[in-house]
Amino acid sequence: MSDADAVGEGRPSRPALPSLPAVTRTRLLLAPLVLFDLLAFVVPMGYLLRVSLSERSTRQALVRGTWSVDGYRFLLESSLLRRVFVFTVLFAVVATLLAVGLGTAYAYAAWQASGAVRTVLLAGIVMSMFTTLVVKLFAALVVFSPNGVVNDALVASGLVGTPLRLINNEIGLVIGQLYVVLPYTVLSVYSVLTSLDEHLVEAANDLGATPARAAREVVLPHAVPGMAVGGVIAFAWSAGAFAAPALLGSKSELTVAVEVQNRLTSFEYPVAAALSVVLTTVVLAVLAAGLYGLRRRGGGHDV
Amino acid sequence: MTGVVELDGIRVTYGDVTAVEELSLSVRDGELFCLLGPSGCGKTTTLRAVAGFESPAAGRVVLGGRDVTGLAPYDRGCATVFQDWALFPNKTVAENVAFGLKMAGVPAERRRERAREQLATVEMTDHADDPPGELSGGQKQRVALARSLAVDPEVLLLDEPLSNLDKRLRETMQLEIKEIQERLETPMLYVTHDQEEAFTLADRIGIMNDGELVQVGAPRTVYDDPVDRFVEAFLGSTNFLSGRVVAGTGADTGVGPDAVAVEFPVAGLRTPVPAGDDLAVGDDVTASVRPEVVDLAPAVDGAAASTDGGAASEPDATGHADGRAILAGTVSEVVYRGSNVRHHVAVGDGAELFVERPVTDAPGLAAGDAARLSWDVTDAYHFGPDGARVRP
Amino acid sequence: MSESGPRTDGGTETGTGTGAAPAPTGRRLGGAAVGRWLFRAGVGVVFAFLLAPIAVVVATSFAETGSLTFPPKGLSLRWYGEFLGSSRWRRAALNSLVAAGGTTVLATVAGTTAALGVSDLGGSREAAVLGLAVLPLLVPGVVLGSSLLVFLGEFDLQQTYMAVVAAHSLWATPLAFSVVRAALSRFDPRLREAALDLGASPFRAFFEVVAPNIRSGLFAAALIAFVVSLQEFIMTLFVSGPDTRTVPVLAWNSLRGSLDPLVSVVSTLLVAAVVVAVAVGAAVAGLERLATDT
Repeated sequence: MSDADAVGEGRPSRPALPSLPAVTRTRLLLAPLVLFDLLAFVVPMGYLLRVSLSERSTRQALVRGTWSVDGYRFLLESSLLRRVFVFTVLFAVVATLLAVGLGTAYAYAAWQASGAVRTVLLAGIVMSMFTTLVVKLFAALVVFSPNGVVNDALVASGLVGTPLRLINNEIGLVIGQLYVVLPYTVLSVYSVLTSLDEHLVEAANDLGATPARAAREVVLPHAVPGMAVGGVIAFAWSAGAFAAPALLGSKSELTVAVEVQNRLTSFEYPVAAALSVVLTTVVLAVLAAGLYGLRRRGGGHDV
Repeated sequence: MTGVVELDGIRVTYGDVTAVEELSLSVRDGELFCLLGPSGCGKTTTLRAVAGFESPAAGRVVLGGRDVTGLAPYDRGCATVFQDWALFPNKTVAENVAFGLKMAGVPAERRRERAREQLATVEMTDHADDPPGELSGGQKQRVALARSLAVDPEVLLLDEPLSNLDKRLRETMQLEIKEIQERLETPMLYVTHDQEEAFTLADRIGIMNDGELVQVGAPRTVYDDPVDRFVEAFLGSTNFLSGRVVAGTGADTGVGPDAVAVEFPVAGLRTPVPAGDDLAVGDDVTASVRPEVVDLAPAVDGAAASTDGGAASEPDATGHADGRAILAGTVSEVVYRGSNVRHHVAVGDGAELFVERPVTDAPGLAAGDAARLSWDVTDAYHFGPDGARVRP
Repeated sequence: MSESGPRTDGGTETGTGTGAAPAPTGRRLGGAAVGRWLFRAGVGVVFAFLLAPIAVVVATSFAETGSLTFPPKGLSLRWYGEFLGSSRWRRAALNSLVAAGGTTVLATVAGTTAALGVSDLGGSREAAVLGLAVLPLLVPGVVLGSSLLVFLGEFDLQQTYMAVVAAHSLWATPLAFSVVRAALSRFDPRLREAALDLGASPFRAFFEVVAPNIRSGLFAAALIAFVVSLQEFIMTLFVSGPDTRTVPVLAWNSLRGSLDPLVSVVSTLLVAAVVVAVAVGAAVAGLERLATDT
């Protein structure tokens, strides 16, 4: 049987590697990601925590080897920093609510649309998501500035007499932040809606519900997990917002993240680190609460 | 003689669940061995332990005299035909068939030749360059078979390979597999839940239940001589009657001192069962009366005539006459099932027995007719309280 | 239709029901139609809000004058020429490509291997690895950037390519990981078993059978890693130096001064890169999947 010979010839040439036990294989596969996250994330974050517990000094950025809670005490005592924290949270809440509201409407429209319209709506959102923040914010600056496109159009149409102030204030901040988070809230809701049968709305209409009613009764309850995930992401990123406040806000709209950078550049490492630690804790606490609530509702969802 | 596949007390667990418990079996050279059992009985897990996809918590797997227990699937020299065939969608039919040879380092030219030969044996040469996604179920089945046979495995493992095909195609493929197996004499371990398929294909059948191998034997042996109630129930449809031992050995049962008397309340029968010391008074006993051993005749004026023409005797107080159990009932339903007719007969207390007769030999009864059932008591199987067969 | 017919009230009922249905339905939709058009207009505004600025910036990059007005006065490629002539911008473009290349390799490899291994763990350890993988995505960029700056500063490694790639990979890896995991969930594990069964080592089984069948997922993962690196700038702002700063960082620095027309040019080029990436990605992996898997 010559067929068997051919195989027989081949077999010994197979490298006689000892087969790896499954456990070893799994560990090897996980090693790159785990090592990377340990080295670039866990350890640096731990180091930041350590820095936040160092003595403050006016002479150098960091006095090594010292232990102190001065950084945190300063956070509590400084009325400026307290104001920054309150403003950041308020700003994050407003941006989150707007992003979830607009995002849900947009996602619903994309889901309802068919063919070319759906493609255009989705492509627009993916485009926006993948465009660097700097470009989006720069573009917003150009469009919303006092002599920008929007104000030109408003004045020309006679709707307003003088240009509106849309940047360098809270409005600018929120506008800028929407560019950051809106794509993510849209896609969170959209990905949940894709698992919903498109004929449900037709069925609801058929049973006598108006389109708006059908959306409210049938689609909205289904979209809640996606809205929650999108909301949690929007809040986390808005609470940590840096670029939009720095570019589209003014000196009086300081967020925690901007303040972190200010303190770092003025070499106040313990204060900057303490601010970072508190900010991260707040963000992760809100995230955990959001995900916990989501799980209790029975919607297990990966972010 | 040791087999090509020797499983020696293997146990497979998933977390806290034991899928296979202390299982030993041997597949002989050149035979087709069917592992038969209901879904979830551990038969596929057993096959996967042979292939190397599951590592047993205990026991040994020996292939061709080589202990492969700790080896990875690619070092084992067996080949699997999967339930959904698992053809590589990114490769053509010919590349699929040649895959094992490529992994073994066989030169490209030789591989192609060999793949062509293999495809010829399953009559798939015309599809050599097609992607497998375009093939029909039966064609995929053939390619999967060719792909596994191409590596000339020591044993071919088949995991319910025909369960995704329709009935007629399944029967054709069964014959093809049987024919290939007889020609190549490649030993096969074949997992199925379909008893007809097992009976058609197997040289020997191993019946599994709940992670354990219950009975091994030739198809005929297993069918004619089931070891326990589970095998009897699984291999075909039968009538089970529940009873209880009312008198122990030594009582006057009329069949000798070894017999006990079992009373079946539903049928109003009190039957002597030769059991030796296996059964004691008060034990629960189940009798299996297969539909083909029951004689069915119209009841005439209280007395009845047997279909085989002989004059029927009146049953005695225990419900027997001339070594036959006799029962009166009413036909509740007659079902034509192609070549045979199934009669459901109510025998009182809501209990129902069914009887099968060839269409050509049907007693001509209709629903509502009074009928008389009888069977030779030695044709019934009896099972003790633990489900084990009670043997004479 | 015949079901909705009798339900709608106020219609002139005829014997057939189906014939009566259109009239009342049409009247009711009159009110709903206004709402629907309002809704569509609203979504249109959001769409324009998101994309119009980008279009305006692209237009201004072709302006003749140095002031950023829309519509631009006169068309020219003057600023493109200036961009190409600037060694600072050329250097930044090169840095961006180096960082994106390094991030793509690191994030795709680490994300893919982890996606392959993580499902074997099961239970709480699988959850722990998933949590560790995704967590950096949820920590504010400023915090990650400061931690890397302060930590790497101890070893004088801040402002290196390594620092930039590490920072970008913190966000690119979890995304690549979840994209590959989604692709693997659609992959039939029996195919891999069949390959092993026929004598393929796990390594060969991956390249012969697994990778070809999840290649759109692998491609999407690499693409997303590349784009994430290309657009990231907050962490980069902290960890890059004059020799390693990327295009977005240089653009940011330029913006702090004034509205530089060169930033329009850079923005246009970045947008063009993203359009190409999204188009290629949509062609290979499908827009739907690109939108929902990340």
